[in-house]
Amino acid sequence: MMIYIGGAGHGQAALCEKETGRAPAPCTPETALTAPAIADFHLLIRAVLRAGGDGPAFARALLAQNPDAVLVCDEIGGGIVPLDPFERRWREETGRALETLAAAPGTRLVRVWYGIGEALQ
Amino acid sequence: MLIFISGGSASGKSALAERACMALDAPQHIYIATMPVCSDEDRRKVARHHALRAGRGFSGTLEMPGRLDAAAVPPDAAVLLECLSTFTANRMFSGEASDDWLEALWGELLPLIDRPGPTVIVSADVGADGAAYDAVTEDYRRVLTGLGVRLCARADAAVEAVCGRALVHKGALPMI
Repeated sequence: MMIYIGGAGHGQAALCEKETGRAPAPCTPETALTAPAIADFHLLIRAVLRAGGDGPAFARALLAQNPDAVLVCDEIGGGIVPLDPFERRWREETGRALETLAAAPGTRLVRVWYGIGEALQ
Repeated sequence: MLIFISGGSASGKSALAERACMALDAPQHIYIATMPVCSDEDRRKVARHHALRAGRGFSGTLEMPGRLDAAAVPPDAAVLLECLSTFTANRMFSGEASDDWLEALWGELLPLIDRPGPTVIVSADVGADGAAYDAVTEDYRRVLTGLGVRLCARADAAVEAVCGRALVHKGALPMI
């Protein structure tokens, strides 16, 4: 597993494609289990929640069924915690999913700031 | 020579950028101010900023509250552009239309950063709150952050301001 994460628009998808040769594509919770490169992981978690799932369980399914995937995600936890319960849960579950993925053996994590990638592990 | 400095609101990026600019070896140090002046309150604010910078050794201030005019900037001067977020807002919300603000504003920045003299550009990080805004605001975020990505690709130093300290992502600041 490999994760490229940064603020919205910081070029994480472009850096992923440049470094891995794989262009991230938007996925459904089903297609993500076989996709080589997953775009907008934060939006994917929204779809997972809407379908009744949760972040860590989905992350475990990804690790089990698609362990060689690369995924790209926006950082979404840097603002005021929203009043809307679903918006709150989305931030929470996205963070927990990412923590689950990053804690798995062999996961590489790259933080992207204005196109500059920094490997955290 | 290009230095890019960004960070959250009130992260100390301006002070860091002013110190970086003054540490650059150049015959003069010019500050490009981007805030539009619309009221007496603005005029007082600008006068205060001028007084504050006077003590830091800047040779002069160029007021550019609209289009960036690189031709008005001495070619060999060290320049501090403060800030990219105000410049982008000034241009995108001036009433003028553009099919592609990212390309249009990049085209205005290039002559400034291609001068022989060094350039320091301050921006603002606005992309990590998970919020979905209206289309106009989302476009502003996309353009502002996209300009930052392009500037960082060319920058000799790219630095995130945290509590007035420099978290260096690329290269090194001249004073550290």
